[in-house]
Amino acid sequence: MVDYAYLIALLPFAAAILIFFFGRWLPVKGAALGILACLASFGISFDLLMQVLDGTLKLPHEIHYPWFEVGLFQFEWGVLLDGPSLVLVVAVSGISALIQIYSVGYMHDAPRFKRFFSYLSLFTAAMLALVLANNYLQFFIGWEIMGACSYFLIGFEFERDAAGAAGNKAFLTTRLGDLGFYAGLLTIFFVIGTFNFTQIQNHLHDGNVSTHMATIIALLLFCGTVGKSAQFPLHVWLPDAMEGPTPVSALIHAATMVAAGVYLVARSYGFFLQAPQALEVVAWVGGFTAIFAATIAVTADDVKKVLAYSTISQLGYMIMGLGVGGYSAGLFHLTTHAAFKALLFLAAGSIIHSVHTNDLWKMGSLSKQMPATFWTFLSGTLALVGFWGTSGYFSKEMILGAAYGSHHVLLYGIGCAGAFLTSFYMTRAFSLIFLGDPRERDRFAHAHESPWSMIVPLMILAVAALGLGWFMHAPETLERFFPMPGRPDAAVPPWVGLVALGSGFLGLAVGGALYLGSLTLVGQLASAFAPLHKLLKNKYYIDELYWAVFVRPTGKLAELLAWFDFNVIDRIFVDGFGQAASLWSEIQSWIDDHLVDGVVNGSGWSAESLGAIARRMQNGFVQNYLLVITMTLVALLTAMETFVGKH
Amino acid sequence: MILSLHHVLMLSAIVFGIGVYGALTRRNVLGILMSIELMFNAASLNLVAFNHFLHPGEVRGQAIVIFVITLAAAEAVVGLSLVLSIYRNIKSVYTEKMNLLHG
Amino acid sequence: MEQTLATLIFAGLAVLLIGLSLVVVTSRSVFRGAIALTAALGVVAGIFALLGADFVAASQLLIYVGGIMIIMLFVIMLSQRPQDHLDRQTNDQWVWGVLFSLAIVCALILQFRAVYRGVFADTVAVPTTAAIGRLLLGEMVVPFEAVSLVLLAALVGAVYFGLEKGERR
Repeated sequence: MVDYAYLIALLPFAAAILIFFFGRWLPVKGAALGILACLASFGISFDLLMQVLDGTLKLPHEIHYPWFEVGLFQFEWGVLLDGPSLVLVVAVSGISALIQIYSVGYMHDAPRFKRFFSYLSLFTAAMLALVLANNYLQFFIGWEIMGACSYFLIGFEFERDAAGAAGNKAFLTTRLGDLGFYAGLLTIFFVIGTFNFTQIQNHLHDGNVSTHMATIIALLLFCGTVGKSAQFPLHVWLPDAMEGPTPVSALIHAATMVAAGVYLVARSYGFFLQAPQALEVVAWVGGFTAIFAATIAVTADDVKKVLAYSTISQLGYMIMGLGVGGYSAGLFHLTTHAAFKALLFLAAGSIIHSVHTNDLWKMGSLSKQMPATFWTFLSGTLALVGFWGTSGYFSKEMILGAAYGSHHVLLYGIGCAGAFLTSFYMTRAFSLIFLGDPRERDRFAHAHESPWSMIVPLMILAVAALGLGWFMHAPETLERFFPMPGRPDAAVPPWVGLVALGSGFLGLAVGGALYLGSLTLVGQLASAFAPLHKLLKNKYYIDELYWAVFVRPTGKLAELLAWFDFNVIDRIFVDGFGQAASLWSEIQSWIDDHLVDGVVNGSGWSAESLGAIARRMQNGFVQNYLLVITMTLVALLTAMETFVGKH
Repeated sequence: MILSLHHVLMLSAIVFGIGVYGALTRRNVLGILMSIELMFNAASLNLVAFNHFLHPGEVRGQAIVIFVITLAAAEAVVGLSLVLSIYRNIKSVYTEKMNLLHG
Repeated sequence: MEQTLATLIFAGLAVLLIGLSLVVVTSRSVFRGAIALTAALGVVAGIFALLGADFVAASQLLIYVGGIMIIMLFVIMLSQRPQDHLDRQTNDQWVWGVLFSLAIVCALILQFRAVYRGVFADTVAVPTTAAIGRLLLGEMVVPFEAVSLVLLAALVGAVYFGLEKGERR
């Protein structure tokens, strides 16, 4: 079975192409094929996982498929099965399959339905190819294809200008990060000469790469992560990406694409280990992003925006985890977050589908109308806030423990503050949606539970969100799947975890106090802290800042260049050439008319004149002819006399 | 002074010149024909003179003159009949009218 | 003595000839010119006789004067018009004509003077008819016959041209 590991990525890819071209004639307009392909990938992945668990398959396992050669360099496709890739591949294929099942119900009346599923399958294929990659080239290809799919899917409803603009923003912002990533890849190839992970690892072990070089490479690669995983300062695209349909938000912005950035750091961990300064940068970027995004989520009014900022914040946690040396912690949180964030997005989608609005302030008391959604959303919330026993609890506690254990006490503190805020804003959202009094009577009256195709995936994910932690938190399991390279952690005193848990509970309490009862307290607080409130509500005006500093000047520059192109270059080269050509042709025509024709006319005219002159000799007067003869005779005789001489 | 060859030759030259002048100048076609007759006669004079002065006792020059006279007669006859024919056509004997060969 | 007489006669005849030739080429009336030509031809016959060519002189008179000039006079009379007197007889290129005829005359005279000066003859006039006859039918029989052919052609041509338009075939 392991020899067919490549099918994990290939099946969804084939499905994507088939759906795109033949979807019209396939059952459920191609969705069935997409779901089947994803399930097949999941099946293969799960089977491989089982093989590892019962020992028949040893990790790491690498398969090479040579692709092309340039000079002395070999480029290949490959499959690298080790702990992170296997776990992630199971998670991604499983979640993707669930989301596609969900989308059948959610998108059932959308235009371009089959194209949606084609993109979803393509996206899944790209992510799986990235996860299974054994070299940076394949990794990058998957990365870029995912970027393209993200653009397509965010701007799926492109009849709305906002969706198209959001797609552009996502693509361009991640592109910026990709620049650094690409530079990093070039540097790697230049310094080490290969893209293969294992070979690079060997090089690093042998000490062939200087710390200086490793730092540069690590930081450049991290640029890609900052873009793709929406860290500060390239986080701005993810909230806007909520313009896309909710299944897209669930798949791309919870489980998969944003996780690819974290996965990149994990795969490149060898460089980071050799560049402690880079690792510091990573940790602080992650930590800052975690709290930064959490503060904005507090004032968000759109349920999807709340979840978006939550995602940014949690990604920050993962990256912080990796940055402080908690390799397993970060990857563990990646896995659990995939499950519960997807759950939360899908549940939000269910709510939106039902009440036809995203606005928290328009919802309320939906717990009675939509029980299944209520319970599943609750499970997701509990996992997110790290309620004891959920998967999120285990993973978040591990990260914070790693932060403290590696002497990053400040980051630990930031992490706890972030946990507080996370609980706070999730409680806020939850209360506003499901509890309390309904704020809009008519929506409340029409709200109904979603169809089974949407509920079942929610339930499956809820089980995973709650139970995954129990399966994976044991240190042996983690060690097996996410082996810790480098130094082990220092011992972590138990109060560390309790403080983390406590901050979560504190957030719950405060949130409940403010939002469960009447909301008058909320209003008073808002007016009391009005400037702060305004700052948070406007996302620290970062979008405006970027617009003023980057986007507008670029637009102006583009306008300037366009003006230059039109008025100067076109004038000189295009119009100029045209005028020169017409001038030249005028000259030629003048030459033709006057000189060439002149010669022609002139020869005619001269022939005529000569003829006119010569004609006078032929006047018909014989005496004239006689005269000429006489003249000639005289001339001849004279000539003879002078030249021949006296006889 | 004694008659010498060159006297006769000079005379014939003068007559010849007059004949040339007439042939070039006369408007009347018959006048041209008459001038041509004059030229013939000048040539005959020449021949006889040479015969008399340079070849005494021989008559070759004179025989040639007989030929010349005969040919002049033939030519005059043809020419005159042509003139008559032309006169019948254009009712004129003046050369200005006879330029149908003009280009 | 005879020489001087010959020279005098010659001089007189020469002057006459030149005068008559001038009349031929300059008279307004072509009839007058024809008469002058006839007389000139007679004078030429006289000069022939002076130079000892008796047969030639006689045949000149017979053929030229008695034949050609008669025909010419006929033609002149047939083609005359009353107003012929009034027009001038010289055409537009008379200047050139004078020039070139003078040129020819001068050239010839100069040459003759240069070459043939002082060539005299002191023979006695002898009847030449028999000699000419012997020559014509002896040595020069070919040209003789040829000339007779030419005469035939001229005859035919003259007759043809003299026919009316309708008669020509």
